[in-house]
Amino acid sequence: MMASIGSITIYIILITTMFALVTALIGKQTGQQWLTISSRTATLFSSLVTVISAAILLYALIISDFNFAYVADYTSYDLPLIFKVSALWAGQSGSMLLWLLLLSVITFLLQVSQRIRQQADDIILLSLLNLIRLIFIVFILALDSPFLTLKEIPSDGVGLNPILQSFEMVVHPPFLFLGYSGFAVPFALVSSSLLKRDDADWASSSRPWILFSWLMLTVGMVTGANWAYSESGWGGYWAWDPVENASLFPWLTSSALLHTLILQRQNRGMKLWNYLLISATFMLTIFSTFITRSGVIDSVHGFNDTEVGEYFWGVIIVIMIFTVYLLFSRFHQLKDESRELKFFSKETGLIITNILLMMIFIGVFIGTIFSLISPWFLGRRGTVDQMFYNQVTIPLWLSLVFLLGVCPVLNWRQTERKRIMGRLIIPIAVEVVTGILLLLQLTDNWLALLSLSSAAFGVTVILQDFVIDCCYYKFKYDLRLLVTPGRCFRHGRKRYGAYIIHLGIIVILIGITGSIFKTELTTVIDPGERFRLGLYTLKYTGLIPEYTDRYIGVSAQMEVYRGDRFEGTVRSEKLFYPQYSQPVTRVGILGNLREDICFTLVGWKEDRAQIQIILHPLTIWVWIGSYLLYLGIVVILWPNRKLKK
Amino acid sequence: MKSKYKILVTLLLPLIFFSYLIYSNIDNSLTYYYTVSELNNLDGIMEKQLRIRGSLVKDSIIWNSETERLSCILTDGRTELHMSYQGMIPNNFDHVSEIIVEGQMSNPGQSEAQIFVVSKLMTQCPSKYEKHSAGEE
Repeated sequence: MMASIGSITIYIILITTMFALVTALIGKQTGQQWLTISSRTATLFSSLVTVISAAILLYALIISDFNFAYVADYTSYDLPLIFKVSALWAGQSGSMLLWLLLLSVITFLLQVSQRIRQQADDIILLSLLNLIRLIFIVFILALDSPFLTLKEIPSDGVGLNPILQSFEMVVHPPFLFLGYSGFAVPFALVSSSLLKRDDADWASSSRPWILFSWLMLTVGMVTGANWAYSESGWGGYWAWDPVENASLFPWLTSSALLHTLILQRQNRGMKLWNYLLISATFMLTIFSTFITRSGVIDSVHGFNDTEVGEYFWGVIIVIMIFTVYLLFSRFHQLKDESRELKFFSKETGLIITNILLMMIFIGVFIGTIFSLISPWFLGRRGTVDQMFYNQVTIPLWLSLVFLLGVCPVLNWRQTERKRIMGRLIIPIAVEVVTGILLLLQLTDNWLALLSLSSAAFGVTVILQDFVIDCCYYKFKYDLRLLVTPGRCFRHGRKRYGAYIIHLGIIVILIGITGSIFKTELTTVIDPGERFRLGLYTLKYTGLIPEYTDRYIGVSAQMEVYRGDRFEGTVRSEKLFYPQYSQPVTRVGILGNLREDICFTLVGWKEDRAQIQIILHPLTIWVWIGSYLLYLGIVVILWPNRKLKK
Repeated sequence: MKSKYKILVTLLLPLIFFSYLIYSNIDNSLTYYYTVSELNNLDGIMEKQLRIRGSLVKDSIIWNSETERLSCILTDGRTELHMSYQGMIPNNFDHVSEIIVEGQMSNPGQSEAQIFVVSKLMTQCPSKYEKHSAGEE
């Protein structure tokens, strides 16, 4: 019964969306007001029904209605409530419904916000968003619906894969999808402006959406990395897996976009390029979903072998044709007046940043799809390993960090060399001193030296800029010393938001550099036995069995000492779920600012255990850096307060 | 106009460097996909890094806890391949239908059969676990 209602809601969504599209088209052609009004109402209604549709599936998941094939596939009676809820995005059809839901909510918010600002909502924009929603509606109806029912109702469901039963996996997909669906808005904004042939400032109107989607995507990626680090036992947070790379694609192109968008907003060109980037980012969100859902890269199948593959390919090709059509038919709208470009200027700095990010994107993209394109020129499928990604992207990341230090020094149009030298002399000195100190005290690994000293350079430039700003404000307005930094920050809030993000990137770089010094030990050990690793002495205390209703667990415990000081205990466990044949391994992590000790129970025979210990230096800084990214975006997006006069 | 050329050249050089970077690294880190049967008719496989997909022969898994070495037999239904591996075994190793292994052939003495020494053992990432029961509307 409920499943049938669910299926009906999808049909209603389809019909209302089609109705909205047709009425909008006729209304636009004939100029009849009532038609456009009904199109708007139909869009609102359609969004509302999408919410109902998702609510039905959610309710079925919560009450374990195993009449739904989807519910039976991804949940079971004993699954904790939070995982029953998260099962909404555990499978393909559910995540498509989630994407549709998020798109609908965004469409609704756009409509309402425009009404609040008392602007007529833009019928072409709404129609474009409806077209994008149609991609997912048709997918659910034609290929994979979460409302399919089972002939025989099973006594219990299959349950959620235990590896996915973790907090990170609850939050990771929705954030990622929120980011993905957010990128549909800039695409719709710029396309509608081009279709209407108006000269709307789409750079400014799409910027908050790009920032918001970028933030959501970043949160999604970081939680995913965190999951890989703490749950999966892969021994790292980033493995250049095709699924991970897929989320990196739109992140890289949108990061590039954010930089050249500044140029357009300053009336310094790059319109056409920004349009292409917005469009590419949107296409990549769909491409990424396709890669993730189809598993095509690692599988024996080619791109077009599955229905899902064909469908997404079709969609991407249609969007591409649409983009190219707009590009040629509205070329004059995208063309900029030619301007003189000096090398030592902020413009060039931003453009080079853009190019570097795009190079990283192209490198990662080629590596990821290499197994699919290699038969064309190698005659058989081949794949590239992590080394490829590291070798190709590391020089580019390092150049980016260097540039990130130089950019704040550059002025618009042209910068005098004297200014560049004056502003860079302290940071360069700091870089050199850091490099020498590290070489003498810590390491002779040139990559680590280069990366950490570049980090020092970048941080110094940003701090120096802040100090110079503070001095300027202090003397100009004769402020007290204590209030100066706050005032200064408030005045240049958006710029400082960007600086915080840049600091975050530098801190993440420091964290990643730590992985060069990763040490690993796999050994077989008896209870009470001790061994040394790095600064620590570890003592294995034995195995503890654990019996619960849902699983049987075996955990191994390790006491960690640094010298004589007791640092804490780490525990790794293997959980055996009855409905799953494979046990789940939980990694134990004991961390401080210096390094993480990751402990994995590999296997055991009576009390003798095979264990793996990995020392991950500086890993915590990857997470701290990502919090800075979040903070930076929030600072930028924080609404303007009216300044008191 | 002149500075435009300057900029063009400054951009072109990194682009050439970048293309070279990609090209040379593909060459260095390339691994080919093969099926177990294909290995037999392959020339010069001793030096190559290979990626093989196959299923495990039931009851062929031997775990030596002293040497921490796993040995088992991989098959594609026609031909069998002896492999050995030292290192972390993925969570779901025993139970997946297919695994992907990366490594090189080694021949420990002419008399013995060839053994595939695995450097990387992969099962599929959990986002690809899709269970399908036959649904009907």
